[in-house]
Amino acid sequence: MELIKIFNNFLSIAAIIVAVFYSINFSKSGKAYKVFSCYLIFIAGIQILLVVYSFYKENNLFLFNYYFIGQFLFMSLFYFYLLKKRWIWKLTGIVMLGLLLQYIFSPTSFINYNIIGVSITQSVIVVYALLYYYRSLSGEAKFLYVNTGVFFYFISSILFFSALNLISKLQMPKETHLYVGLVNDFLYFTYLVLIFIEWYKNFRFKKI
Amino acid sequence: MQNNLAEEIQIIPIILIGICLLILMSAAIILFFYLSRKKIVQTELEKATLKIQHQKEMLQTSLLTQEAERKRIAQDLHDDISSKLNIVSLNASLVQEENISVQEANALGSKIVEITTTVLESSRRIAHDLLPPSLDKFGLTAALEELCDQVEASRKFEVFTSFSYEEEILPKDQELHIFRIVQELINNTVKYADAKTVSLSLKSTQNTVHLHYKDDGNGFELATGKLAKGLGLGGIENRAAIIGAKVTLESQPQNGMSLDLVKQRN
Repeated sequence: MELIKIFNNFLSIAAIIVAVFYSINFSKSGKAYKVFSCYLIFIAGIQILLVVYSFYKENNLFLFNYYFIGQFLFMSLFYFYLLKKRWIWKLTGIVMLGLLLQYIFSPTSFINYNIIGVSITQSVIVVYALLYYYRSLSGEAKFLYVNTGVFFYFISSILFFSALNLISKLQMPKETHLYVGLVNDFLYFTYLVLIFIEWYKNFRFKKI
Repeated sequence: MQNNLAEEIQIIPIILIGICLLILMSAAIILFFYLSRKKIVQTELEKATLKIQHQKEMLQTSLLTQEAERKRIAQDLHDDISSKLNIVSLNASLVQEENISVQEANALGSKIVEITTTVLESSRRIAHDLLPPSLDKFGLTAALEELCDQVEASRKFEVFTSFSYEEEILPKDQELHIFRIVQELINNTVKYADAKTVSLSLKSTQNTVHLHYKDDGNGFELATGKLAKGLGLGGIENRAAIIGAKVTLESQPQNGMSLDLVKQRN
C-alpha cells in the first residue's frame, strides 16, 4: 500500500522533472518541441493540482476532463507540426464539437470519468502516432521515442480509462483499486521513461 | 451480496487481461515498425553506397580520360610543334651567321618557310582535334558529317549516315558531349573492331534526341568490354550521365556492336 503511494508520488515528481528538462532548451527549439514541452508542463500542472486536491480531500474528478481534453489539444498540435496535415485541425474540431455537445446534453459527464471522451481522444492520438510511424519509414524522423511512448501508452491505457467508471462503482476494497491503478502507473512510467530517453538522446545539448 | 461482490470482482481480471492484450498488440506493432524501418534504412544505405561507388568510378574514369588526353596533346605538341620549331630556330641562327652565302641563306629561308607551314598545319590539326571549329560554326550535324568524311577518307570502312537533327535543340555543351561520344565510338571501331560498315544516325523530335551507332566489327563481351578501360565505354557512360541521357549498349563477339543514346528534353 505505502509502496504504491510512494510510486504514485514518484510518478508525479518524474512528470515534473521531465517537464523541467524539456523546458531547458525551449527557446532554441522547433515548434513541435515547444508544443510537446507545453504538453509536459500542462501534465505536470495537472499532477500538482491532483496532489493538492487530494491533500485537502477535495473531489478532483473534474480535473480528469481538463487532463484528457488538454492532452488531446496539445497532441493534435504536436502531430500537426510533425505530420503537416491540415485535416488534423478538422478532426480536432469535430472531436471538440462532439465533446461540447456531450457536456451540454449530459453535464454530469463533467463530474464523472468521461469514458467516451477519453476513449475517442486517445484513439485519435493513437491514429496520429500510427501515421507518424508510417511516415518515419521513409526517412529520418524526429521524436521517434516520444512517438513510441505515445503509441504504447495511449493504446494500452484506453481500456483502463474506459473501465474507470465501472471500477469505481464496484464494491471493492480500496487496495484492489490501487492495484488496478498500478498497471496504469507502470504504463505511465514507461511513457515517461521514453520521453526522457528522447530528450537525453536527441535534445540534451543540440539546437533543434 | 457476497455473490454479487464475487461476480463484480471477476471483471477486474478481464480488464487486466484486456490491458495486457493491448500492451502485447502495441508492442507487436512497435516492433514491426522498428524492424521495417531498420530494413528500409539499411536498403537505402546500401543504395547510397552503390551510388557513391558509381560516382567514384565515374570520377576516376574522367580523370583517366583527362590524363590520357593531356598525354596525347603533350605528345602532339612535342612531336609536331616543338621539334620542328627547334629546327626553325637552328636554321634561323644559321642565317644570322656572317660567312653564309646568299644561296645558302635562300635555301635556309625556304626550309624555314616549309617547316613553318607544316608547324602551322600541325597546330591547326591539334586545335581541330581539341575542338572541331565546324561544331561551333556550323553545328553538330556538320561536325559529325565532317568526322565521318575524315574516317571514310582513311578507307578503313564505309560510313552510312542519317541526320534529321534540329540544330541547337540541345545546348552547346550537350552537343559537344554527343560529338565526343561519336568520336570515341569511331575511335573504338578504328582501333579494335575491324569493321566494314558503320551506320550513324542522329534524330530529334520535339521531346527526344536519339543517337544510334552500329558497326559490324569484332564486337566484344559486354561484361569484359565495360571493364576494359581502353574502350572508353566508361567515358561514354560518363558523358551520357552528365547530359542526363540513357545509353543502351549491345554487343557480342564477332557480331559487331550497337549503341543507342536517348536524351529526353524535358
